[in-house]
Amino acid sequence: MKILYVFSAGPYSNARGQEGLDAMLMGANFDLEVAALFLHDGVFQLKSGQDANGSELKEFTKTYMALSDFGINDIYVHDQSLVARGLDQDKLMINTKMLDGKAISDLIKQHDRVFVF
Amino acid sequence: MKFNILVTAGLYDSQAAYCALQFCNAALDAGHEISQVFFYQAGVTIANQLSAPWQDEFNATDSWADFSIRTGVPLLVCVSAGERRGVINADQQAELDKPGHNMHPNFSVAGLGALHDGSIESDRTVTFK
Repeated sequence: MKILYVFSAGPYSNARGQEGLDAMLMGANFDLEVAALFLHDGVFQLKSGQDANGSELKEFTKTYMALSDFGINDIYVHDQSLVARGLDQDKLMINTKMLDGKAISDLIKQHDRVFVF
Repeated sequence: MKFNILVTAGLYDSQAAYCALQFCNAALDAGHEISQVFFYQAGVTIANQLSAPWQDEFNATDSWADFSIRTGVPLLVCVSAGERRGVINADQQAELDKPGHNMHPNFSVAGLGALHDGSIESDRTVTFK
C-alpha cells in the first residue's frame, strides 16, 4: 500500500509540520510505501540553514535529514511553491524530486491513502 | 465504502469539527461505514468536556459524543497531541501528576498507530483541517 503525507504549512508558526512528521515516521514503521510531498508554505520545512537557537522552539526539522534512515526516499516538492518563495533545490537540506501541478495530481492518484497536514 | 476520518483543527476556532460530523452523518445515511474518527493536532481539543459554548452555539464535544453513542463509531484522541495541549483522561492525570483531567468519557486515547490501522482497513481517509 502506498501512502502520501502532504506538508502544506511552514515550520514553527504552528505544529502541523512537526506533528505531520510524527505521523509520517509512524507510517514508516508499518509495511507501507511512504512518500512525502511539500507544497505551499510547506516547502519552508526543508529550507537549509535553519537555526532555532535563541528561540525556545525545538528544531524538529533536523529529522528531515534522516528520512532515508526511516526508509523514506520518495520526497517531492512543488516547483512553483519553491519559486514563488524565492527558493530552489540548492536551498533545501535534502535532495527532492521537483513536480509541477499536473505531476502532483498524478502523484496523489498513484497513492492509496493521503494525509494532509 | 468505509471511511477513516481525521480531524486536525481545533475546538470553536474552526468549522472543521462541524463539517466532519455532517460528513459522517451523511455517509452513514447513504449506507457507508465509518471505521473511526481520529482527533489529531489541535483537533484533540474537541474532546475537552470542560468546553462551554453558549447554548445557541454548536457544541462540538457533546455533538460528537452523541454521535458515537448513537452509531458506535469510536472517537480516538492522539495521546501525544492531547498531552501537549492538556486534553487528558484520569489515567493520564495520575501518570503525569496533573491537577485534573478533562477528556469526555466517550472519547478514548490512542496512538498514531491507530490512525494508520484505521486508514489501512478503510477505503478512504478523509481529513478535516
